[in-house]
Amino acid sequence: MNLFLVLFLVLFPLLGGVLVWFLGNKLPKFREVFAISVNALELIAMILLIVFNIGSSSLITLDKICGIGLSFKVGTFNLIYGFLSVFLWMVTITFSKEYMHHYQNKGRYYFFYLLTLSGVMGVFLSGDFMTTFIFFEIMSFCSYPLIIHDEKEESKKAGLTYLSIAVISGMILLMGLFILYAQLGTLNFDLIKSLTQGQPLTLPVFVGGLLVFIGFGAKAGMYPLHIWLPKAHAVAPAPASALLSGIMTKTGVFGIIVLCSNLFFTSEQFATILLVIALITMVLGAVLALFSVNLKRTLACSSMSQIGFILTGLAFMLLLGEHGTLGGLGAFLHMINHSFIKLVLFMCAGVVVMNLHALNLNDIQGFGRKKPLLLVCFLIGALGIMGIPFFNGYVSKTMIHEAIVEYIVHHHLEGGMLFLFKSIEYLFLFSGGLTIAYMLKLFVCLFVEKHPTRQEEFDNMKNYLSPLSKGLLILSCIMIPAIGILPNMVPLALINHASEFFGVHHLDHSIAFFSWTNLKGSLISIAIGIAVYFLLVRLVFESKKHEYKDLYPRVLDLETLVYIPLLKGFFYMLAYILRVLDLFLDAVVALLRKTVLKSHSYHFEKHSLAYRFGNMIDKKKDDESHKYAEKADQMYNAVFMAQRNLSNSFTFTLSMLCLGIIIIITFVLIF
Amino acid sequence: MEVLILIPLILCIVMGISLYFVKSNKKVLDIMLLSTTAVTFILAFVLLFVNQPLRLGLFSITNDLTILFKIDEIGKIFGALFAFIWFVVSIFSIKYMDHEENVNKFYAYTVLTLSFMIGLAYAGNLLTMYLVFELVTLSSMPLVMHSKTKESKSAALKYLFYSLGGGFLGLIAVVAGIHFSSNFGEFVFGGSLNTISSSALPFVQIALLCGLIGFGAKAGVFPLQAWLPTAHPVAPSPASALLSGVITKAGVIVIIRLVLYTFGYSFMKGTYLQYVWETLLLITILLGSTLALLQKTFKRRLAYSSISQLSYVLLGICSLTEVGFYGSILHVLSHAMIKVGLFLVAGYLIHEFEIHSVDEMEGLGKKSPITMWCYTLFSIALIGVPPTGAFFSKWYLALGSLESGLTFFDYFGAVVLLISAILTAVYLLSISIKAFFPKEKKEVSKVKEPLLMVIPLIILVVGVFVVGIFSTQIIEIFISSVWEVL
Repeated sequence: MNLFLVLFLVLFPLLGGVLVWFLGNKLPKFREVFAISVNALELIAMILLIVFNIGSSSLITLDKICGIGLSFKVGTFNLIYGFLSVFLWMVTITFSKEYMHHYQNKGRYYFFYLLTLSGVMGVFLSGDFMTTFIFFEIMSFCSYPLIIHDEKEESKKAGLTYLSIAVISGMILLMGLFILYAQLGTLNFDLIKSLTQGQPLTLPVFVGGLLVFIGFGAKAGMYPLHIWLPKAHAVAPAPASALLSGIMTKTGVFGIIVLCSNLFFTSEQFATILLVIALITMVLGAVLALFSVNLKRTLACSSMSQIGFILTGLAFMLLLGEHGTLGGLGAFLHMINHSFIKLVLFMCAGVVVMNLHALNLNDIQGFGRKKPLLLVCFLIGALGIMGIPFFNGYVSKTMIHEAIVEYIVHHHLEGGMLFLFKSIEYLFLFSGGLTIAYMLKLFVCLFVEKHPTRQEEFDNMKNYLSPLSKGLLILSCIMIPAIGILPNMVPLALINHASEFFGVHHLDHSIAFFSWTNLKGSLISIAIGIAVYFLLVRLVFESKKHEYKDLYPRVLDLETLVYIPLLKGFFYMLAYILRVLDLFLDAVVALLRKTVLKSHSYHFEKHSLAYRFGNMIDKKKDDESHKYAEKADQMYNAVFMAQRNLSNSFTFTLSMLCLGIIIIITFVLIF
Repeated sequence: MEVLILIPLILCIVMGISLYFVKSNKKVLDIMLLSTTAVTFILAFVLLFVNQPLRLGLFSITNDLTILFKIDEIGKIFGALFAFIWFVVSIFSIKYMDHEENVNKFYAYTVLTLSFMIGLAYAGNLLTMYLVFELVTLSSMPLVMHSKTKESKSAALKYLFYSLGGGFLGLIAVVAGIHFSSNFGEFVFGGSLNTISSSALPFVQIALLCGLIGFGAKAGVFPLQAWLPTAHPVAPSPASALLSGVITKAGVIVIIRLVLYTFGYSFMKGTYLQYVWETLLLITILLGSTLALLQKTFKRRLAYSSISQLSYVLLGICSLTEVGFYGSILHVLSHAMIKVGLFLVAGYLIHEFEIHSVDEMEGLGKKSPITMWCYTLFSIALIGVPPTGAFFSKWYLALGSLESGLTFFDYFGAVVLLISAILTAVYLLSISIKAFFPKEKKEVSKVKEPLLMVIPLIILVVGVFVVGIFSTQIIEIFISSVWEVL
């Protein structure tokens, strides 16, 4: 039963996508209905899978297929994220009905939308890296048409960046898998763990793991391969951006979690590398978001920053070893929270785009005024991501924060190390502060300030959203305060089952989320956030007339500054050398033909032997037109040319033979 | 039972010769071509499942040298592949050749080449193999110069020079193989080499190296690779598909026979030969994919791509490991299908729209969606995206490289494979992107795609995925028994 359900979950969207493509082309009116019903069936299958497997964990293997075989794992983590994916897909595909109303190529859109779901399900249910990789690649390639859906110049540019990073990181990941498989002989998650536990990693295994980490990290939006993320998320249609941000970045995180909890569980070096990268991603994402003047770009950079938070949690899980429950589960909860929050926020952004077809903050200023539903939903999402108490972001951020504090206390850090980790703690809170600042910037811009010219028009947009989409928006908002208000009840109990997946102990006590020490962290962040907002955003980024300025220096774009010159330089150097090698033999032949084997130009004279022979016949027949003479001459020429070509080719082949013999003789003589 | 081997050979030769002299209308020629390739395909397919070894000595030239055909695992698989591809391409060429002249001669040489290719697959010893190998070159040369322009003639001559020259260079290895083996060059897996005295060893090694380089010319291995990009673009597309996808594999099969079946892999393992050859192969891989990116003519780009892909195949053999060998065979299968498919797409574009250059392909996705979809799937397969065949072959090739035990080259080989895969992605997918998402949006209407051209493409796309998903079964049923002998 499990096998059937898992295969259904993974393959049905593929089949459904094809079906929707064909049926939709025949009956364009019902395309959305088909797509939504395919998704609904998928949701039902997912719920069935959960019902059958609740609390247990099993491995399903398909041995004789796809090289070394596929295997799927059905555990708490897989079920939760599988369910979340289908749920997000369901909400966004329903929202697409309204959002995509004016777009072209809807058939293509839904086709790839469902194909991507297939890839995502495969990743989250996978039980070994081979399976993960196969579906990971399907997902990467199928989401490309979603990103460039409107086919504008800007989208295509972003799509190209996305595709390049996807292909290159895919290959890096594959290289890592090669090494791991050659060294360990398996790619199964559990077997990797049992093989590498209790002994230090050998260098090849470590390098292989690191390459896998880079490959997954690129998809997660990790520094320095984050460059695709702000661009691609900003240009994709809003429902697709919600998925890119909410689910697809998490497939990368999924890979990293698997690496952390199995291969690198005891590796301190890896924990350090992960921590450094996580912190850079966290801060850089927040800074980029603060500078951005584009609604969706801000949200995308915010995603990058939140991935940094998640990775920080994972890094502290590794540092704390089996006691890293708080770090691991905090990271997991933050993943879930972030998925929900970004769903809401990108849908709100979608509402703005749908009505105004603009994303620049100066164009959309004041759009949200007098639209209470939009205001409430956006506010809930914003409060969630800011980490305000009673909203879900607070819970997970507090858990990660506690993990940092626990590490400091647990290891009795002193001197330099204490200072270092204290500053990491404050960096964490500072990033939280930046989060608050940029969300405040968005909120004020959308809902408080007035547009200089079009405000009246904005206020009169009463039918800005259909009832169905309003319902969806409310539905996706519910979880945010729910998790935030009752953190110890359902969510923690649920994700506690997943602690096995992370390889950490169960959480055996409830956490006092609303104690003073925990609230203090949040208050510090809020203080920093408000200070940054009023001192930096208000005074520097915003002119007196409430106009937002794009102050981020363009030169600092990693892509144009480093990657493109580097790749181009490498490629042209390689191409130059290889071009020379390619032409080498041809050049030798050409040189020989100019010198030693110079082909003489032959003049065919009219008085050749054949011509004269023909002439004789002509004279005998008294023919003045030299008919036979010319015919004979032509035949002679043809034979002559053929003979020359033949002799040339034999010369060449014989010279090759001679070359071989010469090589052998010299060799034999020398030895 | 043994005579079964000869039936496809003789059938093709007879049909080829009669096609040459038939001067009736094209319909009759089409039927003759299709029926010949179809029957050959069925026979080769039946032979695929014959488990007992078949061995057929025809006649002796001297006391020791016989013309010998026999069917073993490798021969079976290559024979079936050749016949399959020929059948698919002949479906395509019916439509493609409808406006060309001298169709009967083209068909005649196509069928003759098939005969010799099957003969090459079923050849039982070095002498027979060498004989058929040269015949393949000679019979396929007219295919290149079919259009009889000056350019195509010189390209055909270049092809002839390189192939025959390479063949002569390789003759040294054949002679050495026959001389030093215990059974006059009959193929036995693991080799049949006598113990070689230390004074003769350098000679044998150099002879083998000459063989690798010389026969490598057919497979486009540096330094004898230059004929591919010249010969492929000028030939009619079905012919260039055969040349690039399948006839180049003649070089591969000859090298497999030399390295694994005559000299034996223990002869080469760990010696400098392996390092030299691997260096040449890695240069070729990079050379092919890098220069493919710089080509503007579609078929030239594909030709350079073949250069790099064929060296993938040989890289697996060069690693001299079991998994590397699996990777090679799988890559032979998938590359044959993919590259033939790509050249058929090129043929479709030339036939329908007179498109030769990559730049002209903008916006084609809307015009002829099925073809461009097939093109995109072929490209994705060639890059090695799972679950297509080329991914699994690359997987085994890279593992083979890592397990080869060479210093430095083990990791470097895998890295080069992946760099080349990235370059492949750039030079193939950029066309797809251009075709489906053109710069200027123009209203273009769909063109009716001729069924006879689309069906072969779809067959090949399905084939590529089947090879990928059932790669384990293919290895278990057909190939793994080879290594169990040892």
